[in-house]
Amino acid sequence: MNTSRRKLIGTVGTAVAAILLAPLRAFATARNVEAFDSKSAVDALRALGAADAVETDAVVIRAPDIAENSAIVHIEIESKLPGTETIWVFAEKNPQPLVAQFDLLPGIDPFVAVRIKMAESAFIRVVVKADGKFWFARRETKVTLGGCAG
Amino acid sequence: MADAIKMRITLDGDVAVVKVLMPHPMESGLRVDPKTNELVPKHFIHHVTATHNGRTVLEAQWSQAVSKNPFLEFRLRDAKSGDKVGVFWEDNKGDSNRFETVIK
Repeated sequence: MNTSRRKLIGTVGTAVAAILLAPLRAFATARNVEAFDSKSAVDALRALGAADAVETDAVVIRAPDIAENSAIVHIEIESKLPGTETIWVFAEKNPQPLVAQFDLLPGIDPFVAVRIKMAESAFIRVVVKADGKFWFARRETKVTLGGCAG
Repeated sequence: MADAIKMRITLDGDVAVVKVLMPHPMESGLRVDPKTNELVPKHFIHHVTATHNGRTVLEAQWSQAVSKNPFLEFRLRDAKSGDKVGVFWEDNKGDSNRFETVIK
């Protein structure tokens, strides 16, 4: 009787702690405002500390050669690098090239698919942080009409 | 309040392929409103969190250049029928939405 009461208090306590911690956990990663505000991919990479990223075939970018609608360019990214922690996506000629950052936690495959807007034909650059090192891959996608106004 | 998040999950062995649609205008700040001839202010989802049985597995930060009504696909390991999958987003105006479902 007493044991189950203790157990119940313990369970309720854990649940309350989980609720209190939930808002903090939702924002575990601080936004790198400087990188997102950068007007060039080079500046954004510098802000991320990824200026020395090395080109690799182990990061695969699937994207159309020619995007029919530049406001909806479907891209898929797969990293074959062990210990992939973070994936960044850049559209190199967008006014602010850094489009997205994905922080991968244990329990997820190093894969994401997302749809982005492209201002003009450009290289899509993907930077990956794996085991503390930075890598990148690039792929050119041509667009017929600018998408950032959409 | 934004429209409900839509989620489709398919189990491939012990990997759950999760496809999410988040209705949102994703205004870039560069679009001119044809009625007023003025720029529509930036309004975009800037943070997304995905959870598997309540545990955070993915955190995304986005710019205004993610397409309108954002699509996101990710793949969960060690997934099985009955597991809970959740998505939460917040935009730059402080609006937010969340959705959780159970893998069939």
